[in-house]
Amino acid sequence: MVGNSNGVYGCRSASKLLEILNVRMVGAGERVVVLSHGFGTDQSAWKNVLPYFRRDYRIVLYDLACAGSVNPDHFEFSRYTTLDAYVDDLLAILDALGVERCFFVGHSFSTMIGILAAIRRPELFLKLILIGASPRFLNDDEYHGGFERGEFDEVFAAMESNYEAWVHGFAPLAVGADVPAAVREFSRTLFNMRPDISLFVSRTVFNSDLRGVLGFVTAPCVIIQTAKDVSVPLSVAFYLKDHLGGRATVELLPVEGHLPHLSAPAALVHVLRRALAPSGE
Amino acid sequence: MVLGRGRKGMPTPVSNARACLAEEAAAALDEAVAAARFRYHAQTTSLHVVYALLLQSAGGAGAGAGSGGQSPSCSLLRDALSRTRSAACSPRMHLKVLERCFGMALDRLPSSGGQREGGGDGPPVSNSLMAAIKRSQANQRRNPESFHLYQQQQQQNAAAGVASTFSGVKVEMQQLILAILDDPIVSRVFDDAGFRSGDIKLAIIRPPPTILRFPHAAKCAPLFLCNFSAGDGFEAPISSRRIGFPFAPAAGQLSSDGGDDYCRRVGDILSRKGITRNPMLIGVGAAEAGRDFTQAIERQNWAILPLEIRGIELVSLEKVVAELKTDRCDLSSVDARLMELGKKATMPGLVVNIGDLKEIVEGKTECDEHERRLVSELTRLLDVYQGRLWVMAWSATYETYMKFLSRHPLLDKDWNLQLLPITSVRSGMASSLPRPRSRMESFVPFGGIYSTACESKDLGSSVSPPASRCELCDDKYEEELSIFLKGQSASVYERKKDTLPFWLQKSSTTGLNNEYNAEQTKNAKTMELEKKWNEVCQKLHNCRTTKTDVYREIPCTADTSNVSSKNRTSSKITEESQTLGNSLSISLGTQTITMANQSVSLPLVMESRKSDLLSKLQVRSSKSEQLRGVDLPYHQGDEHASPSSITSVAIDLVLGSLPESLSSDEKPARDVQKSHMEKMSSCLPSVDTVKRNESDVPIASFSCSGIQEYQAKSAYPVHPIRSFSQISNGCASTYGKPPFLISGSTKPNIELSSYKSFCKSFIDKVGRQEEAAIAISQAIFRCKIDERRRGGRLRGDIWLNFRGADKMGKKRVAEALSELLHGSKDNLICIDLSYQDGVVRPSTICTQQEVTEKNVQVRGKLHADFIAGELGKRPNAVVFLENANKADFIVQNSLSQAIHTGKFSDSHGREFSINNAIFILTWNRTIAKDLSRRKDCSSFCEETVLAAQCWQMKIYSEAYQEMTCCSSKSTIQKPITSQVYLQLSSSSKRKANLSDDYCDRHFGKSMSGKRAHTMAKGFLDLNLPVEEVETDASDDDYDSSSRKENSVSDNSELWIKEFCDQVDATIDFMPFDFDVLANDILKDINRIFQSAVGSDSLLEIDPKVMEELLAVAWSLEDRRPLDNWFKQVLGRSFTEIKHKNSQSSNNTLKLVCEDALVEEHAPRVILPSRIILSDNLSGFSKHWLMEICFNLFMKVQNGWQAPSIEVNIKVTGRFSTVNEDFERFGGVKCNLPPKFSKAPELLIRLQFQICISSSFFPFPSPMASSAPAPLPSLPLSTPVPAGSEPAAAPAVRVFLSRLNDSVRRSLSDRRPWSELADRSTFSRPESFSEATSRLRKNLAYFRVNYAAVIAVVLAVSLVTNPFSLLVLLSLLVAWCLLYLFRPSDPPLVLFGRTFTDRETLGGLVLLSVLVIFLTSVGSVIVSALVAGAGIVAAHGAFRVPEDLFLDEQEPGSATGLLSFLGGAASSAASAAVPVRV
Repeated sequence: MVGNSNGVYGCRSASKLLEILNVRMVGAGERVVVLSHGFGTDQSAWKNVLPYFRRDYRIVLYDLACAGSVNPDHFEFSRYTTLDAYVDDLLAILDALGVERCFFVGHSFSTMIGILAAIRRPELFLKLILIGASPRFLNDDEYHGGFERGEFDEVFAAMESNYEAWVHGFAPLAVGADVPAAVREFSRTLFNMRPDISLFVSRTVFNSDLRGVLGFVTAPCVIIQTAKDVSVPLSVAFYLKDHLGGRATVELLPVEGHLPHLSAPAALVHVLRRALAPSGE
Repeated sequence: MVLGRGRKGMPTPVSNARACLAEEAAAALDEAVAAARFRYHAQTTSLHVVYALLLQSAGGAGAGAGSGGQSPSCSLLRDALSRTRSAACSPRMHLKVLERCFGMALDRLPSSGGQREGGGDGPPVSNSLMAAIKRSQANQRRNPESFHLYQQQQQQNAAAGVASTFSGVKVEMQQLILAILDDPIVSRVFDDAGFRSGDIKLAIIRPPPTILRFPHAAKCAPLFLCNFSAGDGFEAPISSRRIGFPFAPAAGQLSSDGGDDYCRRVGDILSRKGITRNPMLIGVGAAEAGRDFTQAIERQNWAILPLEIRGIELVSLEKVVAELKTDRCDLSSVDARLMELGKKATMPGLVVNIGDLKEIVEGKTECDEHERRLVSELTRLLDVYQGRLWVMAWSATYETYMKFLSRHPLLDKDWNLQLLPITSVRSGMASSLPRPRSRMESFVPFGGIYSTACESKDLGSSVSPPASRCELCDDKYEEELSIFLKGQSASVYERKKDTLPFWLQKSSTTGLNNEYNAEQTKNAKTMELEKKWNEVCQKLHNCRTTKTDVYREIPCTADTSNVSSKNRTSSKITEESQTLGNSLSISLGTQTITMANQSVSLPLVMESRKSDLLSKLQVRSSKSEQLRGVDLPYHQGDEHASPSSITSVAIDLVLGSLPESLSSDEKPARDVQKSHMEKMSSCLPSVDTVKRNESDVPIASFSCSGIQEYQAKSAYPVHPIRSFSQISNGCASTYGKPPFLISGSTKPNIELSSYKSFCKSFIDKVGRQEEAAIAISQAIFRCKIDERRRGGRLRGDIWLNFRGADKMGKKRVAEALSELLHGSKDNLICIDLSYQDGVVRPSTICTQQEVTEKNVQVRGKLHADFIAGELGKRPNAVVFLENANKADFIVQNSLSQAIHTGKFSDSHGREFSINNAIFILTWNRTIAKDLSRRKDCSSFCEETVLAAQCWQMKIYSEAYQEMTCCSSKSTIQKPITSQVYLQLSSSSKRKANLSDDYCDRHFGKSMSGKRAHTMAKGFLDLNLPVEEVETDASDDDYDSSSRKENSVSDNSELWIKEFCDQVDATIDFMPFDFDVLANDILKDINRIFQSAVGSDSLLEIDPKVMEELLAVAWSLEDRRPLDNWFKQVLGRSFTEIKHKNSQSSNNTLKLVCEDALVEEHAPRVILPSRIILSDNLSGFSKHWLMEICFNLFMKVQNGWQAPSIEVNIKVTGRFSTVNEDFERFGGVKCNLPPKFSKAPELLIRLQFQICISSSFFPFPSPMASSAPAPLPSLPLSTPVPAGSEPAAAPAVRVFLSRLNDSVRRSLSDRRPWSELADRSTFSRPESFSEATSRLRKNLAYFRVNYAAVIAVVLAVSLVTNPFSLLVLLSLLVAWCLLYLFRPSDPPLVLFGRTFTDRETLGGLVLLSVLVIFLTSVGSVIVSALVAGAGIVAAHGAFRVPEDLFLDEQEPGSATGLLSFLGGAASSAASAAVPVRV
């Protein structure tokens, strides 16, 4: 299908891309799982989850271009204006690694990327596992995404005026549960992001609206949603379930917070394993 | 900022102004001052600055005469000008004109006539310019990117004691220009020259536009936000400088956003080689993107399209499609259109734009002839002109597209549609693009970005070389240490540092430091530092490898002992070393030992010091080494091959505090030792040598002196060791240590006795489970004495399996073990493997008894990591793993590895030695299988007791008769003999809460009837959890899921089986006999009851209460707290209820549980601190309702369909808090009767309904998505002000107070009247346009003053016409009384006729019009207003507004006099907007 991952912007070769985005492939299994981190984290966010899958799966880890662990010089503001650029990256990585079929595990912002990628290359994705997914963060007449535009402006204003303070305020909120280690970790990765990139990306995310295209996803999806998430209301998970094209199931995690892989890895792993297991049905 | 507002002070001296400016800006100011001086102007104004800038840049650009350093900054303005100018004449001309204009404006300024102020450094800076500078300063300070910089500067200033008046902010050139452009005189001149200062500002703020808008610049590299600095030369200064408003609202001019991106993507699709593909844009932003693309083609904006398709044309069929919809078109026009298309499809190509598919799909259900015709024709054309004709369409949603496809099946194949998801919504995108900030990097700490990368790599690879890391840590530690010790004994040890290896440096540092300074506190601090760094090192660098580690801790331990011995406290360590000294016949007093402890230096250090101390110190050092043994972890697994590690074992024996080390003795060693027993006396020298050996061996490469000796003596290293252990036996026994520690040559006897005593103390500690205790003791001794078989190496770890019931008993045993073996409970690492972190567990009594602090530590960590971390901290630990069958895959792996190799590895592959650890695993699975069934007659099973939570208890009395009728259901256990008996309910449901029973009994028909046939009738049992409906989506159904998972991927069962085979011993626990305990408790209660109430009453105890009590009694170590509770809480309650019910004596009292958890516990026991006494039972609680709702919620979301569920619930209690929780569950609507809101706390029984219909859940019905997060609050939480009668008076009062407030507030905004009347600022306007522009500015600035003036004029004219005043007043009164403040309830009755509201309003309006226009009132008012306006206009026209600045854009300029009408409310609302993120 499309796959013109480096068509117009053909400047980066595949291997360079792999290097830039810190792509790693670990694990010994046959089936490939792509772990894609969300906004404000980098691939280290998966460290608690990773050991559980190392034995049975080949795991592809990479950083999004906006992550703090990627050299910010590589972040082209002109390119990453839409999510499609991230999708290009993902598909290019998978192509470069020679992955033909894989599971995709994405968190928050990455779920959008995963959905788009699965639309573009449906044959590539066996299953999408979406943690804290949302097709649209802003509220609408018919849709409750959890945020009003005014709130966003406030958030952006806060980010602009003092990024550090914002990080310290936001991290505990996002983590939700009382897990100091997770808060620390999330603050670290969040603060690693250059503030302007962080702001830019969050604007990109909040300007994105995937609702119109959800139906094109043909791969089965598992939506993992925590009981209380500041970013994604519970109804969104079921909206996704109803509108996604493929067979979708919702898994409710009885934990709190937007980052279950940091705050409650064991609980998440349980569900993840179940989702990744070859389906019994 | 205050300066800006017309303070008519003296002008500021130039030097002061300069102080606020950055270098370039200051230079510009200098130029301006020079210009002012040149023209003999009294003040340097903004005009001068701009003029100077213009001249400068012209010079710089023309002749290159401008001073080199300043040219870029001037070009800033000039460049901006060149970009904003209109294209009427050539840029050069235009700029010249501008210059002339400025020149003329300057000429018009009054000259000072030669008198100079300000000490001769030029004409002082005018107030307006100064205000501009201040403004820019403030702007810059607010700027986030430079914020930190200024803070820093300020701090520095403060530190240096510099009183900086300008708080350190140096205004940059750009900011200055921006501020000056705000200056009215400047902008006026710009206006005259045909520039708009607003545009110039934008141009400065913004980088040069992209090629899109300026095709002539297309040859340069495309300029994007991020790379414009790499563009033409003149861009460089902008980008290298800080950009003023990094997030300035750009007006959508910069179009390199999503729109462009999508145009590009559409272009890609069009230009694809091979099969033609036709783009189909789908998504919310699709229409926009499509429009963008069509526009780009129409405007021939080829830059964004690929080369191949440049020059294509576009034909839009949108109109045709729209006509199709309206059925107004005929076939011929469509045909004509299509024919046209065919002709047009020439070489570069043609795109046919169909537009929004919605147009086609909507409106008609069936596709008609026209549509089909159109589509088929298009298909044909596409086929014919393949490669030259494309079709393009868009749709906002997937559904529309699918509908379209369903009408035209196979169309996606025929047309080769290429879907392009458009996910970016552009609204707000353009305005929100942040600029890149060149200095941003400095904001993020350097290490941040790259350290992560390193760490994430670390994550993957298992173990990184620890040495380097440790060195790193060590360096840091040393740095800190040296800072701390600086100036005290620095010279001494720092010299040594250079020559010694790193790990020695530390010890020598400490040691020498002690010797030379003998300062305790410092020592302690050093120790702390070192500990800290050790920990850091452990945590970060994973340096828990054996050798380095052992040595790293040497000084640390020695320090402890040092401190203790100096303090003359008889710490254990000191004592032991003393005794040891005695037994070795070395007369070492405490003093010497202290000395020894202080000199923790290793032999090499000694050698570097005086040689005659050598031998003595060796002994000492050896001793301190021995001391070290107390706390050190041993890693015998690897070291057992070398004699040195045996030495360390021996040391352990000496100290007698590490019993496990016994077990690792080698058998041959023991044999040898026996033969060498008589040589005990010779142990002293060998101690020496062995010590030497030990200290040298691990780092043999560096130690030059010890090796030979070591090699010489290593032939029989065993002998001294044995002798040591002999001695230690003696020692240890004298210390009253558990004798089992002693083994050795007299093994059999000692072992027996020690075993016995161990067993005894063990059983004492546990208090029950004697069999198990004996078995455990046996197992431990067997393990310690036998050599270990696993892996053929010596092992000190013991693995025990606890099977069977009595969870608390197991725990108690583990605690006792830890206490007996390691002296305290601290060494117990306790973790429940079934515990999923973050999962909210019901806080049962049994779990609450555990310390909750540990849970926080566990949270967010993997179990394996947690265990490993704890093992790292406390190598001698009892690891108690509960529910090992629930262990996750990683823990399983780690455990298997640990039992095989003796190393416990965490999830990152780091290994921790478990050589001295005891692992205890409990298994849940086996309970059900073998043991718990043994006592079926028991009335309490362990599960229920474990599940008991701390419910609120309640006593109520019941008439005797009723009791008897109830007792048909219950069996009375001890009916007559005791007054206190247990009610055994027949139902033992999962949550057999009493409220159910109660409900059954009293309102039973409806509820229980429903419950009986729940699923069949479509009702659902709300008391049952969801699992029964659908298993896999429930929240806490981990059992079933894990079983499923196990069967699929893990072979947990297999692992359990294997693992159980490998453990050292499996101990069966007897189930705890709860009945005995229950009887005990009953007896106790009976005693108390009898003494409190008397003999004529009965007490019935609910089983749930009993469970609660049992749980407490079971988990408590001693009964005293419980007894206290009985006495204090229960006894008191009995007495109280006795007083209450004194009149009716033969009541049955019931002690039951309420369904609410207790927050406030009684001291030292998790039981309610008070018992509620009541006449009746309050049935349902918040908790229970919550559960219902949650169950319901889960069911509905799992697809349970029901049109509406009606639940009738009898409710007692207060419900306002419940509502909030309902809302959390996605909105359950409660229709509560209004009087409910006044319900008191307790005991009002009300019938109310909860209507829960599935449509209220935000899914899956369409209503779902519309449900806003905070539901409109229920009537309860916001009681509506009911009465209308007192409404009128407050309304007037509120109105008046608001009016008053707002007038006050507005008047406070007024400008000083002196400013209004400043005579020096009046001048005749030169033209009408000038007058109007002045008026505009003045109006904005003085609006409050002007309003006041007009009001005064109005008032004067009214007062002079008393008649009109009277008329007006009466009119006002009529309005107020009849309409504004009249309650609408009683309708207006005038002259016997009833008027509706509308009629009243109409009448009043009519009356007003009549009164105003038919009397003189109107003319009076109008003339007054005209007069006022005239005054204002005159003033505004003549007042020169150049020194007036609005300091900041006041938010909402509408806050005039009339704001009180709505302003207050809106501001309150805006203030209440929650800050969510």
